[in-house]
Amino acid sequence: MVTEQDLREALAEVVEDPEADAFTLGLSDRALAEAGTGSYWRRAMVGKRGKLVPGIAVGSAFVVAAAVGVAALGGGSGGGSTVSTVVVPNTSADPVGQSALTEFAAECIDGRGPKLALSYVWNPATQQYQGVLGDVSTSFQASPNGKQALVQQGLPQWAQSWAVADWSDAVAGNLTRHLITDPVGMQWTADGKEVVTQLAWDSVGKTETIVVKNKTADFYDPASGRLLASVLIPHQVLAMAASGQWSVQQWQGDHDSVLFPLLRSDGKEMVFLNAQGATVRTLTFKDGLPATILNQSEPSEVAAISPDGRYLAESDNGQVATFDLNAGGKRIGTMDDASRNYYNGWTGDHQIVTATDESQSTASQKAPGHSPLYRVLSPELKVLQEARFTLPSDRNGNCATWPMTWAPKAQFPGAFVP
Amino acid sequence: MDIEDERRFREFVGARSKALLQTAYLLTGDWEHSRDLVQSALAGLARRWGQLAEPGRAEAYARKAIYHAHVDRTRRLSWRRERTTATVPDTPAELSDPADLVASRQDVIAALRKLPPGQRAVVVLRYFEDRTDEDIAEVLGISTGTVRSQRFKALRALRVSVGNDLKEEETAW
Repeated sequence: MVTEQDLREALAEVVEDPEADAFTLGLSDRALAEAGTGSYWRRAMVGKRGKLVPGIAVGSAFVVAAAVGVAALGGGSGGGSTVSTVVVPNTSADPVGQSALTEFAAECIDGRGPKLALSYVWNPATQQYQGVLGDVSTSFQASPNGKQALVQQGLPQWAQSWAVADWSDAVAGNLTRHLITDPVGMQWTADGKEVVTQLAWDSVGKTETIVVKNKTADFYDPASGRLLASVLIPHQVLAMAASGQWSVQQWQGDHDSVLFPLLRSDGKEMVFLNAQGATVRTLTFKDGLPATILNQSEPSEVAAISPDGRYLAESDNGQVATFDLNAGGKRIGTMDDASRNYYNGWTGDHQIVTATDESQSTASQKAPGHSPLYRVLSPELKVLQEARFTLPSDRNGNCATWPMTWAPKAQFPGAFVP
Repeated sequence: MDIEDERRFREFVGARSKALLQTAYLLTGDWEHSRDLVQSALAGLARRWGQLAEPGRAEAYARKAIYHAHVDRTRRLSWRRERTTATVPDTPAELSDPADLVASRQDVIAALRKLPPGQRAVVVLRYFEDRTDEDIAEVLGISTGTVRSQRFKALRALRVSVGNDLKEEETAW
C-alpha cells in the first residue's frame, strides 16, 4: 500500500542534484547580472543562463602557473580594410575585447554557501593577480591604449562610483571617485578620450517587451569627472527596441557625434541612428543569424565590429555568428555550442576569444576543479590557439571564476594571454 | 541595492538556492530547466530586494516566482502532460523488498510528472514542502477549495497511474 508518507519519501529521495554545488557557484552573481541585464554584463558573462561559469582556484594573491605560459597570438587576418561607403561618425570596435586578461571575478564556496564575489586584477608591479579588497564588486576596465583604468564600484546596474587613473595607481587604490547618481555602468568611448554611460535594458511583462532604462547617454571627461554632454536617446530608438524586432546596442562615438546602433532580430540588418533619430548608416547581412540564435526568446543579440572594421560578430547566449563586411555581409562562421563556450569579444588582432568550461561534474563524479580553456578563433571561428588558465591553489575546486576585462597585451606583459 | 543589501542577497542565495532547486526539479522533472527557473526567480528577487529583504518574504517570493514561471511556461509551450489511461499497471499489493520499494517510488515520481502543472504544484507544496492548503492557496493565487480539488484529482490520478490505493490521511476535502 502506497501511503501519503510514501509519497513524501519518494519526493524527498529524488531531489539530490548531482550538480547542485556546481550550479550554486557564482549563482548570486549570475542572478544579479540577469536582474540588471546591462550591456557590460552581457558582454562579460555571455554564457548560457543557468550554466556554470568557468571555475578556477584563487588565493589572496597568486601568479599564473608557469605551466600555462604565455602563448602569443598569430598575426591578424583580414587586412586593414574598412567600410567606407558612408562617411559617418566613429563606429569603431568593441573596446572591451582585447587580448590580455586583466581582471577576473571569483566566487568561492566554503561549504556553507558562497562568499562575497571578489575581483582579481593584474598588478604589473608584482606580476600577479591580486585580490581587490572590499565587500562590493569592483571592475577595472583598461582604456583602449591600456594605460589607464576605469574603476567602478558596484555592479553596473547598481554602480555607485567611478574613477579613472593610471593602471598602476588604480591597482594601488589611488583614485578620486565620482559618485553615480543614476545607477548605470560606465565604459570608455572607443577613442579612450571620454567615459560614457552604458546601455541598460530590461524585458518586462509576459510579452518580454524591451525597455531601455537610460533616458540619456552621458559623456564625461575622464580626468576631471566633468559631464561633457547628456544626449537624449531618440524616441525612434526606444520604439524600435520596444517593438521586439530590433536588439538595441551600446551607443558609440563621442559626445559630439553619438550613434545609436540597433540589430534587426533576424540578424540581416544593422542600422545606426544619430541623435536626431535619423538613420545614417545601414549594414546588411544576407545570411542573417542561424536558427539556433534566432530561437532565443528575447532580442538580446550583441553586435560587435572587429577593430579593423571588416567583420561583425553577432552573439546571443554564447552562440556566435560572424560576417564579412567586405564580402557583402556574407556569413563566414557560426559557433552554437553555447552550453560551455563563453564569448569574450574581439581581440586587438581582429580575432575572437572564447572561454570553455570542460570540467563540469557528472552524476557519478564530482569535478576536481574548474580550469577554463581559452581559445583564440579566426573571424571564420576556426581555432587558432588555445591555453588553459590554471592556478596553483584550490585543490578542492571550490571556486568559480570568469573573465571580466581584457586589455592590449603589449601593455600587460606577464598577464595571461590565451 | 546598496552594499548591505547585496551582502544579504548573497547570503540568502547561498542558504536557500539548493532548496529552491529541489522544488523546481519536482515541478519540472528536468534539472536544466529547474536551474533556469531558479536563476530567473532569483533575478526577479534581486530586482525587488528593497521590498523583500526579510528572509521569509524573500523565500516566499522566490517560490511563487518558480511556481508561476513553471505553470506559465508549460501553458505557453503546451507542455500539458495530462493523460488518461484505461489500463492499470500490474503492481504487487504489498511491497516489502527494498528493490520493490525503490521501484515503487520511481513509479510515483513518473506518475507525478504526468500530472498537469497545477496539480503537480499542489502535490509538491503539500507533500514536499508540508504546506497547509491555505499556504498553498496563497502561493499559487487560487482558492482553498481549488487547492483541495486539485489535490484530490492529483491523488486520484497518481492512484490510477501507480496502480495502488493511496491511503489518504485526510478525509475532508
